[in-house]
Amino acid sequence: MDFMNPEFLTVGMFGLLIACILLGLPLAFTLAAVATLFGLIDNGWNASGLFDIFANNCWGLMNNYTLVAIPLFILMAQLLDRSKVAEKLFEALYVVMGRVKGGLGLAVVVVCTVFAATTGIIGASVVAMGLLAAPALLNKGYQKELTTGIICSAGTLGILIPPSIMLVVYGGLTGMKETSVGQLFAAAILPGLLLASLYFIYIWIRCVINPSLGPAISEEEASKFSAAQKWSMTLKSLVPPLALILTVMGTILAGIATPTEAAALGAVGSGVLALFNGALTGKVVYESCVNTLKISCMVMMLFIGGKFFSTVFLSMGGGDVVVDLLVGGGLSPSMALLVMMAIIFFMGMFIDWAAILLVTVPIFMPIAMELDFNPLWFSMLVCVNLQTSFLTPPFGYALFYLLGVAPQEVKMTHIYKGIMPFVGLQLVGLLLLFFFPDIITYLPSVFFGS
Amino acid sequence: AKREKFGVDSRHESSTRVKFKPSDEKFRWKMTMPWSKGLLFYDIAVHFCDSVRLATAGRLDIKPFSAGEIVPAMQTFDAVSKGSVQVGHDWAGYWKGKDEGFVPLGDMPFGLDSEGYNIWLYERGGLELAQELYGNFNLQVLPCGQTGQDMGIFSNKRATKMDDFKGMKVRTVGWYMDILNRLGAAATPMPGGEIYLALERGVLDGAEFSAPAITYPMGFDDITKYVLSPGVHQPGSQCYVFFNKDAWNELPEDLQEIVKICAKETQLWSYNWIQNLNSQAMAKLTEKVEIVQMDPETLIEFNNVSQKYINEIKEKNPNAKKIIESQEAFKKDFENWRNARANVTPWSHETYATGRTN
Amino acid sequence: MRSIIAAIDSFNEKIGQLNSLLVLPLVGVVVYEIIMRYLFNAPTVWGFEMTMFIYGVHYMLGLALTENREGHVKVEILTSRFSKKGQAWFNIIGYALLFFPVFGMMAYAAVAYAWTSIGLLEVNNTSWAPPIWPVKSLMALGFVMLFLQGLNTFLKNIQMLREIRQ
Ligand code: NA
Ligand code: NA
Repeated sequence: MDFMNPEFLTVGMFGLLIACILLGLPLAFTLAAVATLFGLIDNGWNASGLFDIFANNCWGLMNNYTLVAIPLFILMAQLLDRSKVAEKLFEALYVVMGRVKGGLGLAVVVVCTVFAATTGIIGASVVAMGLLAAPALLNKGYQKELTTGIICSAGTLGILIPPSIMLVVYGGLTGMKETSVGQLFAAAILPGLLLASLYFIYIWIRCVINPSLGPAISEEEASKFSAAQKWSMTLKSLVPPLALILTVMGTILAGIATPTEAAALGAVGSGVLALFNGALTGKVVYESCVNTLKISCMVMMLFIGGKFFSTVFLSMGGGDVVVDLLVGGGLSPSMALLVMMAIIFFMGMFIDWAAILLVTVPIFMPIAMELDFNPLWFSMLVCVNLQTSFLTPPFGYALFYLLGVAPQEVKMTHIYKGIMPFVGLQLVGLLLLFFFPDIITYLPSVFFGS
Repeated sequence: AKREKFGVDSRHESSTRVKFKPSDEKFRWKMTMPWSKGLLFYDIAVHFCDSVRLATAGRLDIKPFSAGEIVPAMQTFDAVSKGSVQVGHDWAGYWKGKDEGFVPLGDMPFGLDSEGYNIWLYERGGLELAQELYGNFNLQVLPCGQTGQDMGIFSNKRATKMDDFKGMKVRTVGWYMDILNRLGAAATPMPGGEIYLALERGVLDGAEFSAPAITYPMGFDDITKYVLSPGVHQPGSQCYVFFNKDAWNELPEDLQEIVKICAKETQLWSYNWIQNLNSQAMAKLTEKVEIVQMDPETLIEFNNVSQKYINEIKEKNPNAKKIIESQEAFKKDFENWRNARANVTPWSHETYATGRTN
Repeated sequence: MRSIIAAIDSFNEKIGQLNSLLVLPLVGVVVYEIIMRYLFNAPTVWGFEMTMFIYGVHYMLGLALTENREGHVKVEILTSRFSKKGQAWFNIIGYALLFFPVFGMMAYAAVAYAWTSIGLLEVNNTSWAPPIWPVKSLMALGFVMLFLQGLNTFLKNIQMLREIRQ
């Protein structure tokens, strides 16, 4: 049976997935259904064997400690939302940066960059910003596409700027000294800041060219407050979120808590802020809990469906198909690099980062060594590329997280359109890292002297 | 009386009588394991699959999948037991929740070293005891991989005496965690992904992992100052390959025999491969960390508390009791020869000359 | 049919809402672990496991509620252009072909998985060694609830077609 060869199955699996996604059924169910069909073809229609593997995988997800941070960070964002802390901050930033075109959007980039240094996952940043910043920006007349683009891209910095779950997993996978987790953390700081700067510059330029995308406030509104008032408003409104960021980041840096544990402290902290603002009623707590459940379940259902899909993909030998594609022809080193990056980028459109890491890193890392690439440099190119996978349609976690929490009027099409320019910026960032490797290797050499 | 030859190869007689019909049936199986690709344990599992494919000329093709590719690391046992995957590779101690008897099959504090496992498993009925236990879960088992002694605890606190360990926040799991807690340490089973940062930031004082070559890529030496040696918690890790029994029974006899030999070949290869890598890894590790040795009284105290703990396990679990007592009997019986042969540890001449005999 | 729909909705909503409160003890256990380790130098042997059990049960028992509230991510590029009737037909066919076989089998497999664990009175592979058969049973319950809720989505769409016709 020739049509059962792994190449055919790999292509067929992705093809059917794309077709089924368009049916408009919940994506997680679609992933599971496509995985089931191909899993059965692969294992000779042994349904009980396949679903036993799926059950085992679900149990494995229930025992994944790093994912515990997801409900905790979502609860933190929910309580923070009720405490009105963010609204005050955004009001203040609005007044201060209001005369700058796109000013509030720029503020989101700054806040997200700081937030990225407190959390290892992206769900939290995007969800928090989607709840806090999206309504604020839309109220001030920002374009929906630009708003969603800013939040998704800046919110996703959390997976690149350390601490980062992705880097921890990467370090464990390569099993190489040169790409230990500590080295990767040090190497990721500057690329993360580079991307943040690219977003910043891009938003500013676009809003200067076309102020209707991110309007500045009128002169009269701006003149309502004196300079001193503006400053005191900003400083006052900055204290609570900074205290919260310090709670999360400070406890990690001071060795009090692990990143996952810091998420719980963040939830407590935002509860305390809500309490100070008189917003911590039983009703608020209950509503926060129900919302937290709904959003966590959306994320976890995707994890379940995505897990089924990647399990079947790998089990069919899809990973080997990728290798053959790569080492089949005699490519020059930069061509090979380009092909590897293209493969990761393409896979990133459809499956989640962990599955991509599992498939590609063990295959690509030895090839990169053979081609004499600096392992840390190569790894960081991979990681920035993987960060992009959160943003690329049709399957991008950041996009779904945002859709889950953004105001009703924001539709998936806005998000898909809005993210495109930022995906372009990611590619610009990748090019810069390619031509200026020092951006990656400088800090590790300072910290570890290598 | 005239003395006979002292030993008998128990397999020889049966092997001459067997008449095989060579099979030409082809088998494509999958193997799952708790190892990610960065760990040398993964290479050991792959080595076994390679050996089988080479020796059977591809008639039995076992495709290895690392942790999480088919099922999560800790679901290896269930998936093979149920037959969803045909083959699994493991360190037996992971299945402690199924039966505490699995722990001494994999190694326990002050348990057997690699030489001990080889003798106990192949010559003293250990393999039969292992088969009894795995067999309860519809599995066929073979010893398949040794990594020798684990390193001690990577730590930012220097500790050589009992008092130094008191209150120390150490990450470890299983029996050793209970034992360390009884010794006054503050042991925690923090999940794997959290260890590096926790150690770096001081959430933890120390953590243990595996043999030097396996531990080296973790980079713990970048963030700690000492290794508290020796690795009393695992003197000689023992791995196994296991098959779903229904799948195993479908294999023709000739393939079964090849698989048995390949498992033994992997057992031999892995130990030597890892030990040689260990010395190379130690050279690099000791550029950054100092190896500190616990003093003898502390070791004896560790041993006493461990033995007491193990005795309690024996009380509670008859399978663990049977296996541990078999190992203890071996240790006792072997002491006469261990004693007689002592003091010629093959140190270099320069080291031996300093008086280091054992 | 209306009463079946209402019964399933109400069952899954009640369990889901009660279960949503689990996130509070989840915070509590994590914070307790930090305090015991950092302030009292006495980390627990059970904290991390307890954390994972609570988090696991929390989302498993909420999958059905999320389905009821249309919280699972969809890509509505194509279907948003359809008429109400067209959307209903799409959902009916989609759930019949994709959802029922897969999540019916999944619910069955999860129950079988839990049943094996109950038979062994299985405990965890850890030092604390708590029984895990109750947690696996709750995982199975989560999938059964999700299957029922998917059945409800299917029924609701049929109901909608009927109403359009009238
Ligand atoms: Na981060
Ligand atoms: Na993507």
